[in-house]
Amino acid sequence: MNPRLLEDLLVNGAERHPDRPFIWSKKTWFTYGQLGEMTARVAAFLARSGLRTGDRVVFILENSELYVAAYYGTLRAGGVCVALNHATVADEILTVLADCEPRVVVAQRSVLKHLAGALPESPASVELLVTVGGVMPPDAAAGRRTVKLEDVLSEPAASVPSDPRGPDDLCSIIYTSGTTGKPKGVMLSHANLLSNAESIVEYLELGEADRVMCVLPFFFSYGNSLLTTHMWVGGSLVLHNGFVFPNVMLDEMLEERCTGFSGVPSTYALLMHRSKFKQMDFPDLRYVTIAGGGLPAPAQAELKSVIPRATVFNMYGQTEGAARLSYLEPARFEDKLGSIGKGIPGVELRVVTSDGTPTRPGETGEIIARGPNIMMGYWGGDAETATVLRDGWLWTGDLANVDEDGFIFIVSRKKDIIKSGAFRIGPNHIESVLIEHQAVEEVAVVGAPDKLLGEAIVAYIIFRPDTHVTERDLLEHCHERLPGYKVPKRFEIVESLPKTTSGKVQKHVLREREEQMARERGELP
Amino acid sequence: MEENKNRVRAYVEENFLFGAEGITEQTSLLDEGYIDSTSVLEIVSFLEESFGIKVADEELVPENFGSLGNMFAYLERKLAA
Repeated sequence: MNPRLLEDLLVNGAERHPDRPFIWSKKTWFTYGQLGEMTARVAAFLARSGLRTGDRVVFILENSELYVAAYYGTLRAGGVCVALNHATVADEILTVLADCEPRVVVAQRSVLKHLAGALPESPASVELLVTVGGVMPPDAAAGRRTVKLEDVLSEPAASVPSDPRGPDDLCSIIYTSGTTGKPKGVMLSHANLLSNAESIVEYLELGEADRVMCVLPFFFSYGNSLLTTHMWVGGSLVLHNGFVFPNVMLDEMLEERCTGFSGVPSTYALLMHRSKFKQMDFPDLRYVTIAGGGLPAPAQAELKSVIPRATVFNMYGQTEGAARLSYLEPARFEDKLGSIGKGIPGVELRVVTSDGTPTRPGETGEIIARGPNIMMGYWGGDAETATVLRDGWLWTGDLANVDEDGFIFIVSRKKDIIKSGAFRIGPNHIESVLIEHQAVEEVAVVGAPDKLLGEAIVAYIIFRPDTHVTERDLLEHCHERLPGYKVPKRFEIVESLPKTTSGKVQKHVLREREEQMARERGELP
Repeated sequence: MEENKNRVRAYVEENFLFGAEGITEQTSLLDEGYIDSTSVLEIVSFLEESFGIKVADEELVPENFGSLGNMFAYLERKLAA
């Protein structure tokens, strides 16, 4: 099969095997044929509503068959998809709307109040609001037309528009935390996403019988890759949102006979330490994948010991690489434990010094990557693009070394980014929110080692003289302005912060302090 | 039990609800987006430390932690056991 555009994956599947199960959502199976029809209805509606080729459509939705219908319906209408985390607040939504100037916003009920808060100042480009599972009151819509996705889906599609796009045209923008606090829109073409899907299918040896338990959100490039790869082979996905109750997910995984599972380090920490995972047996489970931040080598070995018949794939990627950049071939899992392996098929990885010279074995350098999956650039960010895309290579900002056999081991991240749960979080955003508090004189936010989250957000704070606030006041302040996953887990009130002679906060000193505390708690070796 | 309920309610309100209105004992805290996987674990630690109970991994299900009412009922059963 030769898909040219990302939506061809679904359109072809609906034509070739319409009755095959595709998406399991809220205990109901939806077939390829059903999703094909749903996307046709969405596409026809968007075309009637005036969506033009290249117009952006923003999605603020959790995983469901409706997400797939809206997203792929948008692509079929020639639109560009921008999917956001639904754990969000008005300010964050406004930042993205102002940046990418979409024509349409598709949002679920739980975010409508935040969307309503963003609309009055949103760009005039936003003309249409499509709600899912709720209605936007007319006075909250700030003059925009609103429609329910459920109503859109009840109208048969007269015809699906066709438009003259090619594989190198923009398909999706995925916003990712920048070190400056402002999110960066990673622009991915159809060819970027398709080439990455094909490569992942090849090394995971995915086939039509594969069925993945999907706890990762589709707005996240790793979650998105589960959808594209399973469509590629005509496989199926069982959706379980939130991962709040791992035991419920494990039962569903067993009942629906999932052959694959994908998680980030915090997913595995929860499974290993706060679920019945270790007591269960999964006869259908063929493989599991780890990405989205490093799971420590001993935890990888323990995971493998719990599911001895399944293959464990340790992988590495970045949104800028569509999703995936490297994987460790399973045959080397034991002797190269902890390595992120080598480039996936079609992708070349190197570890280099700052002038681009490959490092010697054991020497630390930066990972750079080249391949058909590497992004087109950042939306409206030519200067930022130029700093990471140089001479055809993506400079990842991740530091690593290579052993004598060419296997790559991550050492640390060069960028000041916290990886908490599945999320990359820029500390500057949290710092700028805290500094707005009248009692806060100075603040530095760092990631501290955390058994479950990988890193937990800790805010070091110096209070202004003669102010009397409690941690509770700071928490409330943060909760009003930040989504829950960005709210610090702990506040450290200090008299001073370690600084360089030029006055820059030495965050590495704070991180080392946190690591020392984790060692004392017995959570780090 | 009323006092225990108030303690649990106060903890959850203070840490996860932040003045949200219209939360009843039946409101699904998960569907409404008030709790995530780490908040459930924080609630577990709170219950274990405050009431001297031990929450087993297999008890981490929505029937016990999905709403305030479920938490109250769960705590009552554990204290009676």
